[in-house]
Amino acid sequence: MSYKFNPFTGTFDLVTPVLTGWAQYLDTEYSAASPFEIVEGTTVTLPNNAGNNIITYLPQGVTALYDASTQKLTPAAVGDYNAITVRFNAEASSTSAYLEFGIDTGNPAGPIFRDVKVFPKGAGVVHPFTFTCMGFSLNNFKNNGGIVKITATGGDVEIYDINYHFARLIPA
Amino acid sequence: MRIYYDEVSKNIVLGATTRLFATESLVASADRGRVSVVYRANNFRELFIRHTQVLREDGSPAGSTLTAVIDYLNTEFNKSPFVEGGGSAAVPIYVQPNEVYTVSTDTQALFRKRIKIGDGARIKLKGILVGV
Repeated sequence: MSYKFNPFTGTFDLVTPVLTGWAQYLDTEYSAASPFEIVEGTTVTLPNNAGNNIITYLPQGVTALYDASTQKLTPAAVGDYNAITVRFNAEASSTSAYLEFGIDTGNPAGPIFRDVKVFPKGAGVVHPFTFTCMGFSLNNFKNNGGIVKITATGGDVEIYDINYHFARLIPA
Repeated sequence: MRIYYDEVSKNIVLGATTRLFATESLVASADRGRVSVVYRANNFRELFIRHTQVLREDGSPAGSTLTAVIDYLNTEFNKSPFVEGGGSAAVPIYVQPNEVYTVSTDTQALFRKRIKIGDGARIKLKGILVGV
């Protein structure tokens, strides 16, 4: 706890820490010229080396919301309500290809925030994708972290310009 | 992926046997060093793959170069159920020696301007002849 002198009242007021905040983690390894490739039928961890970040606006007392060494999203606390956004560009080898998305928190039921995206513009055409996950973090997510998983089905997929955006909206 | 003209279904198989396209509906070309397969009706690109990924019906490589693979694909895409050797759905007409058979030009007997005549047979063509 910290206090700040109030010159108008002559008292020391409690300073409420800013518990909400956000950070952005950009991958710098994969690009249009050298994309990350997912072979049809495989599930992989979406890579993000966090080579270029914005961490100025993290919640007070929180040092990171993503760990690049373990490739895990790391919620600040149990009971938080968060907004996680995963963005990237992707090209598929076939129009029949689609992506399955999820965040693996070690939950026996499988990944959470699951979603599916298709490639309506055709094969070999860049598609910008955004997966937005609004949800809470309880013990599983807080203790295990969350790994972004992507499955390519119906064709190979190339991914680049990977960007994670993690906002702590409502602290526990 | 296996891409070929399927003699049984009379369609082009694109990777999966459930993914069928009508004959002559696709065209293959080279684009940025890869094989591009476009659906002619709407110019929509169905495939964009490396040439090494293209396999024949039996699973063997379709070709060692990009050009060879594109040639193979366009040959497969243009196979027709109406030509000889395609397990044709066309109805053959048998003409006996000295028999005269009249064919109208709008029948499929003249498909692709081809008529096969057996030894000793005579054939009389009626209507506008587009080529024999």
